[in-house]
Amino acid sequence: MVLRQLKKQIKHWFPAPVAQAHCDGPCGVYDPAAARIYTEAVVSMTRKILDLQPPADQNPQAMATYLNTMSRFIQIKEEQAQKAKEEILILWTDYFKPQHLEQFPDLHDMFWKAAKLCSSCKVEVNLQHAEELMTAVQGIHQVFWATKNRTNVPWYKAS
Amino acid sequence: MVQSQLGCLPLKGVPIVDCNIWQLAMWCCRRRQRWQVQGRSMLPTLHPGDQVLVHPDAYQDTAPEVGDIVLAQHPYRCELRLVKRIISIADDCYFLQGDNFCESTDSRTFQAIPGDLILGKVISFF
Repeated sequence: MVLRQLKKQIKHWFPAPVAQAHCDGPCGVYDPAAARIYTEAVVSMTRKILDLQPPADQNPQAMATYLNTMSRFIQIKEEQAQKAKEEILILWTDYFKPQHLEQFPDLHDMFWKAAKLCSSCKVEVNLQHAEELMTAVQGIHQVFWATKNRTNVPWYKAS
Repeated sequence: MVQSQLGCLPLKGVPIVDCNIWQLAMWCCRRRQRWQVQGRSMLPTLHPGDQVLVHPDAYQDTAPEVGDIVLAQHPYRCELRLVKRIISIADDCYFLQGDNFCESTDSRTFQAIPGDLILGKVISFF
């Protein structure tokens, strides 16, 4: 009884780190569309950051508005690039199997470069890298659906 | 032999025991680590939210064995820690699988892992 109470208090006061009994569920539902949507957001926010102009005068209110807007754009770009990276890594590590690697020998290189581009898009404000990320996600889309023998899934963008 | 309650095949291994005062004392001395299980892939042995004690030095003198439940580092996502059971060993690589292998992402996806990615042995519940 005392031991049980002691463990209860320890659990309450000292939260344990998480170890994954990792599971994607039995549904087997994967779709690179999620990565595509996040990537589109990264491209869009990169453009908005590059287009946003600081106020010409020294008006404090205008400068505050500019800084606030810029901060929000940067935060969203950061978040969306991270989510794109997570979606890409889930496809890479959970969906794709060794037999797919035999079918597409450059699979690891493709995903590694895509994940690296996500990092670049977080670190930089670089439209070229954002668009390269979109191209990489398009490549993943094509490979993904090819592994399912579905050639009728079109590549499209929402924006 | 433990029979899965989820309609899958029988699982090899023994149920892990509850934490006793000795293991608690070892945790207090930082000789054990406490981890919380997240996910369903180790059902029915470990449930989501269960806390377990891990012995990080369990394999200093002896090698991991088939049937051991281990804490491991994901081979491609180094920040991720996994709880899985060792199913087979070949060429110093360990094939990990969830007990609830109908719902587990494990070595069937990311292949067998080298021994240095095994971070400890799950020895008891907490």
